[in-house]
This record gives sequence, structure tokens and C-alpha cells, in this order.
Amino acid sequence: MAMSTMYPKYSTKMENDTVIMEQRLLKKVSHLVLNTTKCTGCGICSEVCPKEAIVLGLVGAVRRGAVKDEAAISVDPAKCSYCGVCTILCPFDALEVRVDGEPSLPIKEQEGFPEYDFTAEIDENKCVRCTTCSEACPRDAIVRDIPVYEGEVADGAKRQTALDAETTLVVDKEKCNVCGICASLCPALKIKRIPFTAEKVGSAGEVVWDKSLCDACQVCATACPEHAIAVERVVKEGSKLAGKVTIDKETCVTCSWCEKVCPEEAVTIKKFFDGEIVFNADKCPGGCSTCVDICPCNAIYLPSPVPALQLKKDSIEPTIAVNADLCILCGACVNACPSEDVITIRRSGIHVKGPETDLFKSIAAKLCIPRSSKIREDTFGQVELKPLE
Amino acid sequence: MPEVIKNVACPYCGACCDDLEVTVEDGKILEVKNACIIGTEIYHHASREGRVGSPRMRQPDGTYKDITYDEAIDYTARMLIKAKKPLIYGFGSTNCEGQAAAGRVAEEAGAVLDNCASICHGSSFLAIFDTGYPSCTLGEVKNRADVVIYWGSNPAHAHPRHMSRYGVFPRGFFTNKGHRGRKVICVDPRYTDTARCADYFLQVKQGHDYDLFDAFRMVMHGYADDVPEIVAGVPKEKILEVCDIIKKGRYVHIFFGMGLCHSDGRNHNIDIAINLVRDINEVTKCTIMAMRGHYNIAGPGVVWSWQFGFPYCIDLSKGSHAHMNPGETSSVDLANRGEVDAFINIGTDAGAHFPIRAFEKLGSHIPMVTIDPSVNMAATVSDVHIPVAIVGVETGGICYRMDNVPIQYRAVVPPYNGILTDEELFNRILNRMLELKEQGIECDGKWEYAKAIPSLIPVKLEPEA
Ligand code: SF4
Ligand code: SF4
Repeated sequence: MAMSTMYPKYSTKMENDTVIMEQRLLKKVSHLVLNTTKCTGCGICSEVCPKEAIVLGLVGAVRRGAVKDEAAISVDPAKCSYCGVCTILCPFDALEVRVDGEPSLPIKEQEGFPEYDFTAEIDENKCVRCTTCSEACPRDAIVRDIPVYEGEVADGAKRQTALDAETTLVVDKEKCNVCGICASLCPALKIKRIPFTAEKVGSAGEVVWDKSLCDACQVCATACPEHAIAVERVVKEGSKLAGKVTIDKETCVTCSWCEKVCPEEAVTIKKFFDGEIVFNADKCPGGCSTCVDICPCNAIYLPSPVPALQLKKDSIEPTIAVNADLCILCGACVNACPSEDVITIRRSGIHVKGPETDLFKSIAAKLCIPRSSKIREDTFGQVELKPLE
Repeated sequence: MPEVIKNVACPYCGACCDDLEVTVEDGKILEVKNACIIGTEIYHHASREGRVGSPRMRQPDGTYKDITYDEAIDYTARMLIKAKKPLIYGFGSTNCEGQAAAGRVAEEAGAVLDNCASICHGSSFLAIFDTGYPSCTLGEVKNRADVVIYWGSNPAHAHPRHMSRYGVFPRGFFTNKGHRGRKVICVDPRYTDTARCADYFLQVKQGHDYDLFDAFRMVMHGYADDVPEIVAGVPKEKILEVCDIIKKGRYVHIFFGMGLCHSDGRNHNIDIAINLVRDINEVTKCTIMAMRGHYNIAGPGVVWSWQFGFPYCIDLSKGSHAHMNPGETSSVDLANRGEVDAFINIGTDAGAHFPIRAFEKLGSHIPMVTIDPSVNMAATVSDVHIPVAIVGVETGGICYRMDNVPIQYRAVVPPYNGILTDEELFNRILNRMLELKEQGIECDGKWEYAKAIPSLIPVKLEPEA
């Protein structure tokens, strides 16, 4: 067989959480690697692909885990030019191009191509290291580099070490009769007793205090029958937990949950897309909730039912709603929605830094086509959207 | 030309689906749409080869010989008159018209009139007599219920379209999010296919539902702290979680089935369930419903309540007034004690579904007539088998859904071989009885044809005297 028909060779294989597209030339091997756990089915890759090599499949079913051994997107390894545009523009960091096994972004290196420009910052001075943002973040992008205390795990750091404070404990030797109650209550207190002897019957000795174990809880002072103990704690002005909370920009998708929930207003997020999302709940059949399940930002919700007292014929809650402030306009919901015209997305701008090449401009124009979903698609098994004016 | 008949109601389970579309041509059923697999099969069965086209009588050698309707009716009328205490049992699968006609026959015969409730949801009736029945119609469940509990019932297998028509998936007026807006709770010892559809599954120890209801009621009454760590195999935290869901519900509904009616405690499992419903109504709205089995098993309860004041186990032997005492006047108890001397099996199959000890007393010792469109186990040991038209397929009529809503059934094909309907048959039996009585035939406990079946081997032999 002639060489020309043997190379290039193309293949796709699925291994656990990855799908690997391969182009094998005589000497060079290029791979496009999809991480299926990160892929959200947003479809940005398929819109931006200069070769139109990427199509979207069963977004809802794959993301819900109802379909296994299949990814939300599929890439034709023969059409793909391994340029890396999808890698650069995937907001979820799910795609990677490798040449001869090494990560490679030829388009960025040679022609120049911009990347997303967004802000995701926590003002260290304002942050009190609370737990709110890290629990709210739907992408686990918050890095909470704070010691783990005993409230969280039994063998964590002692709670008093969290405070920058001066604690004192004074035992009034006159009053103390070395009864031993305080030491029996608290690990921070020991009593050093002068051994009992028939020669001199009585209770004598001293109370020894281990500052590092003291919580200044006052239990010893209150329990002392002789009121011989005084505990005082002075906390330093502006005392905070040790450590730092930051946002991992690789993982962050700018949904701004952290910004919205931060009790100290310490977070600033600037999204990578401008635009709007609109839900027309009247067209949503209800009982589907695919969009809720697959939204990578937890921005979509089922409105709570109205209590019977306030219930009227016209006050039944809508079947579906979005909190537009939390939406990043990724488009996964539109791709997954089985209805038509319920969800519309209109991107009006993309924030990037770097050279805005012609290629990028044409891609940006595609990303900005407003869209909704479609019930009857022309190609079976492949997502097709309805472009809007 | 095939003709499509719409709004056909299915004569199988208590869900009484009335949205079937049946395609017929030349009196044959070609296709059934919307029904579940069981319902579909009922229709195709009607068009299959081998239907029984005329009454049959068992011969001394055990074979059957075709007889005329007049002969069959004469036999049945004589049997009813001559018997001291005949039992007429069944009725889960016929229309209300047939049930009313049978009521008139039973009255004339001084018979015991009973329906399948006595081996099914009869225990529920007993509980209802004790504590009441805070219920609703299925539309209420569909349109309002946001917490649905299937307790000891398995609609996925027993009422296949129940979850999609009423309980779980439909999008109702105030339940516009379908199953996504409902919390579904399943209580069962087995992880059934219903449990797979549920949000919460409580795996109760078989036979310990009473304990679990007790725990639920304690929580509802504010004694959650005193509930033990595990009740009936269910961890306390799960009980508290589910009680919390119930309290937060806008409209809670409980469906229960044989898991309660057929397990230890029988009616007491149901009465405590009803009392739980009362408790929940202190906090939110709650209703309960028996998952009635056959499509018209609610029918005899309603029809005979009009006629006699009692829904089942009706002893009409006094002639002047009816008497009801399940345990005394229920079919299985009567059979077990050998207290009946003639038996009509109508719209049921006591042969297949009675305990064998009870049925051998009926099938092999006393004269027996089976009224049924097809050959079933009861028919194979009867002295006379009288075929009738299938309700919902070959004849219409009123049937009561599990929530006692009457559904108008319709015929899609004419009766096979011109066979009679149950109503026509019972009316003719009644007329024949009146004629025979006029001729002086009276109750003497003797009959001509009945003989013990020679080839039938009794399961338990009577101890030698
Ligand atoms: S908006 Fe679309 S995806 Fe979301 S629940 Fe409605 S039909 Fe389903
Ligand atoms: S669910 Fe019941 S009534 Fe409905 S089609 Fe099936 S058997 Fe018939």
C-alpha cells in the first residue's frame, strides 16, 4: 500500500475521563484531549472551531450521567487541525492540544490569538476567611488556605490558636484551698499537690496553668468554690484567622457566586462575556429541569411554590427561572433544553487580552449570534440551535 | 376499513385509564394505543382464537359439553333456590349494572353476596368503618399533591400508568413542574421499581408497618425525641427527614396497597395510616387512598351500599334484612368452615386466587357455576361455565375508579358469538328463579347435577372418622 493512504492516521479513543483525538503523521503526533469531567456541554468549542470539527451531542443526558461512554461533544479527528482555538476559548479548561505528547498551542505562539480577560480577586484586607464563598462556589475554584481547626475535624488545630490574643489566669493563693476541681474540669489546669502526710493533715499545693491549652472559657473561674480564679483575655485589634483565601483563575468561570455571597464584600469578579439571558417560562413544559441539572454555575432554579394563603389562579409560580447575575452566558442550558424559545442567550461582548486577529474577530461574531433551542433538528443526534435576530 | 375508537376505558386495573384508542376492523381488534402492556393484552385476548362461545356443563367423565343458555340458566336458578346458603362471589371485573342485577338475584336466593374486597381491600373497609376515609379524587392528587407516598404499594407493576396519570409525573394545575416539583416517598420491604422512581425509599421490615406509622405519629405529635434509633428497620434520621418533607408539603397524599392489607395487623395497619392522615391535617393538607385493584372493584362497594347498606360480605339469608360481619360472612371464612352449599364464581377466579384449603371446599364438594368470558381455574372445576361479554371490550357500562369516580365504559366490538352480558344473564337467572318458585321448587339442600370431581385430588384429606 502506498504511503499516502496510510498517513495521516486518525483515531479517537475514550479512556476513563478523557477522550483523545489523534492525528498521526509519519513523525509527528497531535492530540486533542477532552476532559469529560470538566466539559459542561456549553458548546463554545463547537462555535469557535475554525474547521467546524466539533459537534454537540446528548448534553443533558451525558451531564446527568444517564448516558455513559459518551461525551457531550464529539470531535472529528480528521477535520481537526489541532490549532488550539478551542483550548484557549474553553471557559472550563476541558480541552488540551498536545504535540508529540507535550502541551502545545501553535496558534498562540505563531499567529497570535487573544485569551479571556477577566477579574477574579479577593481583597485580602477585607476577607475574614469565612467559609461562605468556598461553599457557594459551584466550580470549587476557591482556594482556602487556612489551617483546619477542630471544629471541622476532630484532630484539627486547637481553636484558641485561631485568635491573636493575650490570656491571663491568676489564682488567688490566699483563697485557693487546692480542692482540685479546676484541674478535673480542664486540660489546661493541673494541680501540683504536696503529698498528703499523717504528719501534717491538710490540702496544699499549687495550680499550674498551661496557657497554650486555655480557651479563656471561664468554666474554672465559675466552678471554683472559693472564687480564687480570674481569667482574662484581651483580643488584638483586627485579629483574623491565619492564612489566605484566593481564587484559582484556571478553574474560575466568573459566575460571581462568591462575590454575591461574600459577607464582607471582599470579592471582585468581572465576567468574560457581556450580554443577557432570558427565560420565557410560559414555554417551558415543566418536569424537565435539565437546564437546572446541567448549569455549571447553578444559576437556574425551580421557583418555590407559593404558599396556599397567597395562592390565586394567576399566582402559580413559573416552571423555571434564572438568576441572570450568576449566569456566565456559556450556553449549556440552551444546548440541553428540549423545548423551543424558552431560553435565549445574547452575548454582546467578549473580554479578551492579546492580539485581536481577524480569525478572532470572525469567531467573536459567531459567539455573539443570539440563540435559542430548537425542537426539530435537521441532523439526528446532534444539537442545532435556532439563531435569532 | 379500520376504525379508530377513542376515549375507551381499560378493564384491568383500578386506574381505569379512559384515554385508550382502539383500532378495530370487522369486529376484530387490531391495535391498542395508550394502554399499558396489561391493558393492551386484555383487548388482544378478546380477538384471539379459542374463546368460549357457549355455556358448558361438566360431564361425569370430567369433560365438558356445550349446553344452551336456557339450560345453564335453569341449572343456576335451581342451584340457587335449592341451596340453603349459596355464595355469590367475585364482581371485581364486571360493570355496575351486572353487580346490581346480581344483587337482586342474591336477595331472591337468600345468598351471601361478596366481592373480591374480602380478600383485598376489605381490611381497608374495616379500618374506614373505624376511623373514616379522608380521601380525594385522583385529579386532586394530579393537580395539587407535592408530596406523594406509596406505602406498601407498587404501581410500577400493579397499576402501571398510575404514576404517569396521577401520582408522580403529570403536570397539574398547581403542580406545573411535574415530578420535579413533587417529593415521592416509597415505603416497602423491597426495592421495587416504584422505589426506583421515588426520592425517598424507606425499607420497612416486612410486617412492621404499624411500628413505623406509630413513629410517624409520634413525630407529628411532637414526641420525636422519644422515637428509638431504628424503627421497623428504618433509621430515625430518615423518619425525621421524611416527616419534615411531609410537614413542609402543601398537599400530601398517601396511596396504600397490599403491603398493609395483607400483612400482620390487616385493618389496623390501615386505621393507623388514616389516623396519621388526621395528624398531618393539623399541619398541612393530607389525603389517603386505597390502591383498589380491579377496574370496577369499587363498584360493588358502591352499588351494594345503595342496595343493602353494606359494601361486601353481605349475608342475605335472613330474607328480610341484610347482615354483614367480615370474619363470619366473608367468602374465605365461609368456605373454610364449610358453611356454604353452592357457589357462583363471577368476574373473578377464586380457583387461582383463593387459598387452596378454602377453594377445595368450594370446587370439589358443592355445585359451582363460573360466569366468566374465558377459561380460568375456577371454570375448569365448575359444574357449569357460562361465558359472558367482556366489559370495556364487548359491552359498556359504569365502572368505579379507585377513587370512586364513575367512568363510562364502552364496547369496541360486538360480543363474541352473541354471548350475553352479565346483566342480561343475571336478569334471566332471576326470572327463571321466579318461574321455578312458582312451579313449587323450593330450598331443600338437594341438587341434581353436583358430583364430587372424580379426578380431583384433594390437597388435604379429611381425617378418617
Ligand atoms: S427551560 Fe428547557 S431545559 Fe429548562 S426545564 Fe424548561 S424545558 Fe427543560
Ligand atoms: S394502568 Fe391499569 S387501567 Fe391503565 S391501561 Fe394499564 S391496566 Fe389498564
